[in-house]
Amino acid sequence: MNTPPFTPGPELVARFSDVLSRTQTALFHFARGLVGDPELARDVTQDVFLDAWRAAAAGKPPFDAASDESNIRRWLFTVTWRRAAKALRHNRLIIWESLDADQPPATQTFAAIPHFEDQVGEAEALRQALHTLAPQDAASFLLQAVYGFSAAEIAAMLDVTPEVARKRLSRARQRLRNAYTQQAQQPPGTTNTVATTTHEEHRS
Amino acid sequence: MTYAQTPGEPSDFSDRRAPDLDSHLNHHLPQPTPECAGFGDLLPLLATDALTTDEVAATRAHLAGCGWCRAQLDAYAALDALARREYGADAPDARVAPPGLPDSVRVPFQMRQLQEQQMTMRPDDVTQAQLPDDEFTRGPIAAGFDSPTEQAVARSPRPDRSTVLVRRSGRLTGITALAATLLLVILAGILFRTHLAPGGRPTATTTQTPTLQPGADQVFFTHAVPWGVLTINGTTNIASFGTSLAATMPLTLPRGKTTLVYTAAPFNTLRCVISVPANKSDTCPLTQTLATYPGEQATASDLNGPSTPLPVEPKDVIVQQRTVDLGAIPNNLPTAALKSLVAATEQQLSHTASSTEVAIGDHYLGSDGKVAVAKTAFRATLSVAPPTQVASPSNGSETCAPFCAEAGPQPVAQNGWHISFFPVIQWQFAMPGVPVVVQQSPGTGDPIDVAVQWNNSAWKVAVSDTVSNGTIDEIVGNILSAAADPNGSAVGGGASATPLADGVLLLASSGNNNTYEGAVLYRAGVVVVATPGAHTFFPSLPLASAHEEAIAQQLLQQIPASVRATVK
Repeated sequence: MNTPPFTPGPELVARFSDVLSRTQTALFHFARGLVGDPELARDVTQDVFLDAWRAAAAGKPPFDAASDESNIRRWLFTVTWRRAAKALRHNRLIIWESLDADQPPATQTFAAIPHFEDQVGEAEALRQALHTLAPQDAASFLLQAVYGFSAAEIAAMLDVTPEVARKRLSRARQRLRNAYTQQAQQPPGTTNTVATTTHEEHRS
Repeated sequence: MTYAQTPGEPSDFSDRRAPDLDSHLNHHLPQPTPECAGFGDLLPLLATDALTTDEVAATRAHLAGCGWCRAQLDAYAALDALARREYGADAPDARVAPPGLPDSVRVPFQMRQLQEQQMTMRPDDVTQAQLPDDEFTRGPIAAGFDSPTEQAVARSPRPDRSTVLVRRSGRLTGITALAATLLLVILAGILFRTHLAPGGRPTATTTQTPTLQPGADQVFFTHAVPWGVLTINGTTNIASFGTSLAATMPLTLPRGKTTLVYTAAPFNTLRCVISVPANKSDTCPLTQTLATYPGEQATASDLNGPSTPLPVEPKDVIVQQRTVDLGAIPNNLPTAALKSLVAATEQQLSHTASSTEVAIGDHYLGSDGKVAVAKTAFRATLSVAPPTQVASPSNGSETCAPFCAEAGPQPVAQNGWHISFFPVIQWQFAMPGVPVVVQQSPGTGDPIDVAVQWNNSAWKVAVSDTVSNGTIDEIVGNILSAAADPNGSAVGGGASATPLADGVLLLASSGNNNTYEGAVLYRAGVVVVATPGAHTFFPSLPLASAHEEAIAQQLLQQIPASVRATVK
C-alpha cells in the first residue's frame, strides 16, 4: 500500500521542463481549437503534461533515451487530442453520425453561437467555423495546417487509416471554408445549427 | 450496405462575404468547368503531403487552365494563414501562464501546477511524479527566473496543503451546484444516522476543532463495484457500496485514524488506514487530495502564476477532498477471474459469430499473420470479442486491455458494473492444430459497454446492443482499408455477404468518385483481389481463387448496376 516516493533527478526535471517550455503554447492552442473554451483548453493542456510527467518519470517511451523529439511531439499532440475529445464527450458536445454518403446528415444544435455583433472579426469567425466541424475534422485540420504534421502522422495520431485521414483532411478543409464564409454571412441573432460528423469512415 | 460515391461538396462561392477570403471569392470569380468536380476533393490537399505524385501533377495541370479552382486554392491558403495566425505559436492569448510573465516563468508556472497536482495522485501509480520542494525551488527551473523577485517567488515554499487551491476542470453550473448541495444534505443525514449508535450515541469521535479545514474530514471513493461492501472501523458496513449514494458523495470521517476494509470478490480485499486530518502514515491509496471548483464568475484571468496567489472567487466552491481508490478495475482482477470475465463476455457475443466453408485453394490468415492457401477444406468462424491477445487502444493514459475501466458511451440498460472494451475480430479455423487468429481493427470507434455482475462464483454479463452485424461490418471495413491500402488509395463502399463470414466486398477508388479501380474481398481474415483492375491497383495482394471469385461476383451483383459498371 505504501510506496516510497519517487524522486526525479535533475536531468529528468530539466529535460521535461525543456519539452514543456517548447510545446505548451502549441498544445494549448491545439486544445483551444478543439474545445473552444480557453479555460477548458488550459485544463486539457495541464492534464496532458501531467500524463507526460508520469510517462517521463517512469522512463516510458517516448520519454526514454531511444526516442527523439519528434516522437515526443507526436505523443503530446495525440494525448491532447484524446483528452480534448474526452472533455468534449463529457460535455456532451460530440454527436456521432454516419459518414455514409447516401444517408442524410443528422443535425443537432452544437452550441449556442453568440450574436454576430459579439463576434470580433476573422478570429471569431474562424473559431466559430472550427466548432461547426466534427472534433476529428477540426483536429485533422489544425494538426496539418497549423502544426505541420503529415497525413500519415495524423492517421496514427487519430487512430485511423491513412485513407481515412486523407479523406478527413480534405473534407475538413472544405467544410471549414464553407463554415467560415457562412459565419461571416450569418445575420445577427441566429443560432447555428450544424451537422457534425463522424464516426468511422471505414468505408465512406 | 454502403457505397462510396461521395462527390465533392457543392462549392458555390459567388455570394460569400467572409473577411480576408473575400478577395478570393468575389463576384468576378470564373465559373467552374465540368472537370472541376473531379478535383473538388484534391484541391484542399494540394498543399499537404496527402496526394500522390500523379494526383499532384493532374491537379496542377488542371489549375493551369482553371481560374475558378485557382481561386479555391487561394481561399484554402488564406484560411491556413488565418489559422496559423490564430492557433500558431505566436497566436494571441498564447500563454498558459498569466499574461505579462516572461517565457522563463511559464515553465515554473506549469511545473508548480504539476507539483500541486501530484499531491492528488495515488501513491502507487504516480509517486514518480513526486517533485520535492528542493528540486523545485533550487533546481534548474528556479534558476531560470529573470528577476530577484521572481526567483524569490519561485523559491518560496510550497503552500500548505490546507491552503493550496488546485484549479481543476470541474465546472459547477447553477443547477449542478444546487443538486450537489442537496445531495450533500441528504448524505449528511445518511451519515449522521450511519455513525450514530441506537440511542443517538456516537460510535466515534466526531468533534472537530476550529483548525480543521473544510472538507478535511470528507473522503470520496472511486473504482467501486455494485456488490462491494465497505466496512468502517470494523463496525459500520455499507453494503452495495458501488451503487449507493455514498460511493459518489463523500463520507465524513471522525478525527483520528479510520480503518477501511473494502470487500468485493473476486477482487482482493483492500484494508487501509486513513486519518483526519491527513497523516503521512495513511495507507489508503488516494487519487486526489484537493480540488477547487471555480465559481461561475471565475474567468481566464483567475488562472494564476507563481507570483500571484490564487484568489478565492466569491462563488467558488472549494473542496478539500481526498479520494480513496478502491481498486475495483478490470486490470486489478486476479488472472483467473479476468479470464472468466473475458469468457463470459465472449459468450454474450456469440450471436455475432458466423461460419463459412474455406475450399481448397482459398486463402486464409495463418497463425503467423501471413496469407496461407488452404490445402484441405475446412470451416472458418468469425466472431467479435474483447481484445485478449493483442494490444488494445488506450483511452488517454488508461490502458484498455482487455477492458477499459470506464463505461462505454452507449451504456447497456442493465444494472451492474459498467466497463467497456474495444472489439476485435476473431477467426477460428476448424483444422487440427490451428489456433484462433485474432485481428485488431486498425481504426476503432467508441468502446462497447458491458454491464457486469458477480454472483458469488460466476460473472453475469450483458453487452451493449450496439454489437451487431453492423459493428462487425465496421471492424472488417477498417481491417480491409488498412490491409488493401498500401498506397494510400481509397477503399470505398461495397457489399457484405450473409452470413458475414462468407465475405465482404470493397471497391477501390483512386480518388475519382466516378470510377472504381477494382474490387477486393475480405474473407477468412485476408484480403484478395477479386477483379482484374484490383490486381493492377494492388499488385501485392493475392489473386482470388475460383471459389473466392465466385463469391465476389455474387456480391458484385448486390451493387447497383450504375456503380458496378464502373468497376474495373
